[in-house]
Amino acid sequence: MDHKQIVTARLAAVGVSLSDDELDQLTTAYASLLKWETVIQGMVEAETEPALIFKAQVEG
Amino acid sequence: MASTSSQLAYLSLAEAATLIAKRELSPVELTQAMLDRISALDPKLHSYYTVFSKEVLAAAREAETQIRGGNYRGPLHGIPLAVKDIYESGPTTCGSKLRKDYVAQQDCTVVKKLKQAGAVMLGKLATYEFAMGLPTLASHFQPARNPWNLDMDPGGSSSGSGAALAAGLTFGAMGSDTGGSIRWPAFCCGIVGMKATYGRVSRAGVFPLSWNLDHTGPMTRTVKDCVLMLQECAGYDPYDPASARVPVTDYSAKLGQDLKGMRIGVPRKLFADNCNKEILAAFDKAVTQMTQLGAVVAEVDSITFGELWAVFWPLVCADAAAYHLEDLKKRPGDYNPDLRMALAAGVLVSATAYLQSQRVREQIRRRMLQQLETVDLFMLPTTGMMPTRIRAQSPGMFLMAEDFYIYTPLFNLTGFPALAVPCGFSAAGLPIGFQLAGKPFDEATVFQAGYAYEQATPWHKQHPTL
Repeated sequence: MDHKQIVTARLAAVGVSLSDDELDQLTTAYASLLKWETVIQGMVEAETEPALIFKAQVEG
Repeated sequence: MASTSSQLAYLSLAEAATLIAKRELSPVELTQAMLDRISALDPKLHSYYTVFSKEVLAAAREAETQIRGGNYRGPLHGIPLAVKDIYESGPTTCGSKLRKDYVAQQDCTVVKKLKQAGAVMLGKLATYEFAMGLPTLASHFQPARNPWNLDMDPGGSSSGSGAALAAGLTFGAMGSDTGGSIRWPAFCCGIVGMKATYGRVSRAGVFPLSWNLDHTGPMTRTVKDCVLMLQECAGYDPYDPASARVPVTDYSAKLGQDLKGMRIGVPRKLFADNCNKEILAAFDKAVTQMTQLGAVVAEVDSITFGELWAVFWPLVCADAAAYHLEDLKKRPGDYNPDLRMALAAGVLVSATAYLQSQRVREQIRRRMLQQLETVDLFMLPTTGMMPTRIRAQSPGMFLMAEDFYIYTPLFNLTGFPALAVPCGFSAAGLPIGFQLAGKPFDEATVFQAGYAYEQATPWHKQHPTL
């Protein structure tokens, strides 16, 4: 499935329909969302939340 | 008091309050002057959707009677104010065809508080559609115009608030700010806007865009006016689930104190490689001014603009989509096109992406809180781009564009208080401004620095020719 098909299917699944031109624009936006997921993944700090909680407990 | 309409119109709120307290200015005279000016100028500005002509004059008469009777309530008593049309109070359209006939059954908390402080309500101010969707000449509601150049957008989404203040059509306004909607129009219109700490000012009765990121706050022509308005509208509200049970402090406590030794951090990595050169030059001059006022300014580390966008947009779009989903399914054609697509983009955000954004958001907040142990404030341009022309038609999906350089969402993600202050003009005569942000609930220090800068510079004394 290409991106436009994914966008169309996801919107249809919740009952939202847009024009073909708008779906093209939204496909570009979807590419941005995917890119941002990668950016965010790179920003997540190595320390997980449980580790931070443990650290906070130890440090009082 | 013998004064022309424009002399009255450009009094600061604080000046008008002093004259009213001394009974040298009548609230009725002041309100009538505003109504006359709105009638004369607003047909070309479109800053108001609704003007409460009869009601506001009746309220002004009542205020006058109370003050004459020795029952002066404080600096907002008898002062004409207005609110963005997403605040429930009478007709509340949200700038959308979907709500064009909606009339609120009661005032929202903030309007109630302002009225209790004695303010009189002029009306409801234009907004981007549901505080997000760009209005164009093809929209159901006409876009507000920038008083400095009527062909230009006044910024948004509190577009009418910015335009009305710059044009002298109100003494103060309430805006809302999910990603910069108080501070961006403040920048574009050359006025002051305070996005207070998350939870500081009630959002009960204000139409949501993103429950996680929405803030409310005052917009004015001067820093002191902003202090006076925030003092009255801040406070815990059980009707807003995010409202903070933190005591309201005296926001004027530090006004007039010098900046000697104040530590200001500039997160230059966020804007250095993408900011408009005129804005950057004006900002750097403002930094120099802060140094001359005694502040110690140093660069601090920050996320990049790309990282800010990556965290911000999935959150705001998904939250907005959740709120609007039923209307998006049933009445998609009633939204402006760019909002329709931004909401649809929110549908495409996966649950895992949303939650990762929230995790990273908290990490950013924690890191910046640590930075606030070594600096007192952050200082940066409000936005890296000048206002655009009012458009005849929707430009399509533009909000998520990667060259839409606006630096305000950083403080929606962190929830820190952030104040927009004017700091100059472009060669084309359009205002430029910067923002100061501080520790949660320490609005007083943010105001201190903004006031010191304002008093040392002439920008707040300049008004557009209309």
